[in-house]
Amino acid sequence: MSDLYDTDILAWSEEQAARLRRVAAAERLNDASPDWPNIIEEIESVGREQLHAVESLLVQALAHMLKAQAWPESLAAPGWRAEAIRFRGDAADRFAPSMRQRINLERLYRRALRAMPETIDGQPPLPVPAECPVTLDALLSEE
Amino acid sequence: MSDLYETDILAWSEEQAARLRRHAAADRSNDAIDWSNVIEEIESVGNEQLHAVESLLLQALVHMLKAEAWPAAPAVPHWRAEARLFRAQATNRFAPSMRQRVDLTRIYRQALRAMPETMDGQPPLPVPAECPVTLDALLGEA
Repeated sequence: MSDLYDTDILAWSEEQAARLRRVAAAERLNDASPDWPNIIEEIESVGREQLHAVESLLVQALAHMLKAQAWPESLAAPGWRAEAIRFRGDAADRFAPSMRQRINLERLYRRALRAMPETIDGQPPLPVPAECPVTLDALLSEE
Repeated sequence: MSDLYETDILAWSEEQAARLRRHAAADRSNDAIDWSNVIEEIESVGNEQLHAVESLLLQALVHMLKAEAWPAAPAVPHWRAEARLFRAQATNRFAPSMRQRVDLTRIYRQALRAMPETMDGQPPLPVPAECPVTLDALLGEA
C-alpha cells in the first residue's frame, strides 16, 4: 500500500480517498472527528495535481515539437527540439501507470495545435498532422 | 472546523493531522488506510502554504533591499513594483497561525545573502543589518 504511494501516486490517492470515504461514513461523528470532507478532497487532489502536471508537460512537449516541424529552418528550431526533450523527460518522471487510461492524447494534441503561433519571423507554418502522430509510450520513452 | 479550512489552512492542517493520528491509533480495524502517508499529505497542505508565504516575503525583501542599495538605478521603479506584488501575494496566502512560525530575522538574512555584489558596476549603499520592517508592516498595504 505504501508501495503504491511511491509507484503510482494517482492510484494511491484515489484508493485512499475511497477508503477514507468509507471510514467517514461508518464513523459516528463528534467534535473531535477529523474534517473528513476536506481531508478526502486534499487526498484526492494529491493525485489529480500530478495528473494535471503530466498533461501540461505533454502539451508543452507537443507544442515545441510542432513548432520545430512547422518552421524547421528557424534559428530557434534546435532550441525547440531540446525543450521538447526536456518536457518529455519531466513528464516521464512524473508519470504513474494509472494515468495511462486518463490521459487523452488527442485532446492534448489539439491544445498544442491551438497554441501554435500563426507565423514565426513572418513565415507561415509548413503543414503539420491534424491527428497526433505519436503514441503516449513514444512520448514518454527516451527519444 | 471547515471554517478553519478557509480561514487558516496551516492551523487546519496541523489540527487535522493530530486528529488523524488519534483516529489511526484508536482504530485498529482500518488497516486498509495508509495512515502515515495520509497524515503526511495533510500536514504538507499547511506546510506548503507556509513555505510559499516565506518565499514571497523573501522575494519582497530582496527587491526592497535592491531599491535601497541602488536608489539611482533605472530598475528602481520596477523593483518597488515587484516588491509590492510579492507583498500582496504573501498577504493573500497568509494565515494567522503563521505569525509565530515565520522567522522574519532569518528571512531577512537570506535576502541580504541574495543581494548582488554590484549593479551596473556600482557597489551597494549601506543597508540595515537587521530587518527594519515588521511582519505586520510587510503584510499591510504596501
